[in-house]
Amino acid sequence: MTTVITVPPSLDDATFEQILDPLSRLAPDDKLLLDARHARWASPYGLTGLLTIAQTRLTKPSLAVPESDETASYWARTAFFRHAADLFDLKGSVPRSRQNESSVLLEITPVVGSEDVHAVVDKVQQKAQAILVNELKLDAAATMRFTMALSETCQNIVEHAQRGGWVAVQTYRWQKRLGRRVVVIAVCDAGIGFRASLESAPGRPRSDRWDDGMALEEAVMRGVSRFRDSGRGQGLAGVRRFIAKWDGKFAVRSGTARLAIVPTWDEDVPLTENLPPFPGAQIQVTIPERVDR
Amino acid sequence: MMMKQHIDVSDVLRQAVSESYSHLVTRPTGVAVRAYIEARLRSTEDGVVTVIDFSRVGMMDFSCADEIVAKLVLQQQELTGTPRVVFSGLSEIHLEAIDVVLERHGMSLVSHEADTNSYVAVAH
Repeated sequence: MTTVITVPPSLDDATFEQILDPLSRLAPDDKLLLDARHARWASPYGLTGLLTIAQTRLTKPSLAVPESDETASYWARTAFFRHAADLFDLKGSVPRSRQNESSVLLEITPVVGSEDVHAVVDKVQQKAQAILVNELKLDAAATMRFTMALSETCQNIVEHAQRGGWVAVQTYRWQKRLGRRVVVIAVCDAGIGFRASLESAPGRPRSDRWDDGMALEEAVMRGVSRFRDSGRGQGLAGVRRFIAKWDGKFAVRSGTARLAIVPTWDEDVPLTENLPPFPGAQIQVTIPERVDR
Repeated sequence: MMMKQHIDVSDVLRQAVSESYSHLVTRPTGVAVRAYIEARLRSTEDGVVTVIDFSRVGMMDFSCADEIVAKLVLQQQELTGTPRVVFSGLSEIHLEAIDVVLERHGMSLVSHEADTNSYVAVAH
């Protein structure tokens, strides 16, 4: 029997949980069809998340392609179908990607080794200046800081996931929640996650409370790493500080918990626990257009 | 007069890692660049100060700042007890990353020569 899970019409980090909830009740080898026929929009987190779901399945899942030409065409321009073709049995008409999408700062790109991080940084650097400075009105130095944040989040996959993941960067107008343009980085993997990574540290002290939420707090807020080397663990903690400077949002989900650094314009909660379990780590960085107050 | 040698980090990056790389990102890259610089320092006579020049480096992330600056300084202090390396050509972005990683090791950058915009790392 095949279980059908409907992809929400608007797929972002919040609505992605609507997929993970029923998914968590399936065995890894159960047959699965993700029905995206009525999807109208997807964030980079949503698209990279779908690819990550496929990586967790022992039986190749199916994906019903969006029926809307506009939506399917956009997903094609983000390179989603190029990667999905290897991971899913695609049902429906898959459009070819012929034109560049100006809002796609970095199309969906696999990250496995450190050479991939170099390639991502080089690609983004070429387009970032125009988008961050001209469209989001950030200062010129922000381009370097943004690229640095991107490098550090991608390295989280290389250093800790123990399997490949995905990165994508897009800009769009976030009319409903913010009324401004935003640039969004999504980095998703289906690896071992923060908790297992920290548990592998030699001589790690045991505490009464130890769960996915605490692992996220240790890694992101206190810069704890699985390595003994005291210079490790600064990446995500450093990114968090950068994001705060731009009034941006940093959110990371791992296992059953999600930790967010919440700016004033957002109503998210800092720590959400008891979420449906999902392997690996899923990171989203949101940087809004600067407005002069 | 103090003897100096100059190491251009951008050249080291291309020679030690890849001709096509222009940014100091990822820990393996930082390890390779530091290993190359350390080999140069081992063959340097006592009393020579090495100027490590970042002026042609684009971006440097925390991992590379830790490997190339913090670990190099720690290793030099262990070996010689005195700083033999000076960092120059650092942009505001480089300095931010270096400040973060040095703080973790109980060190900070201080100005070495204002006219050459160079810095040395010292313990707090």
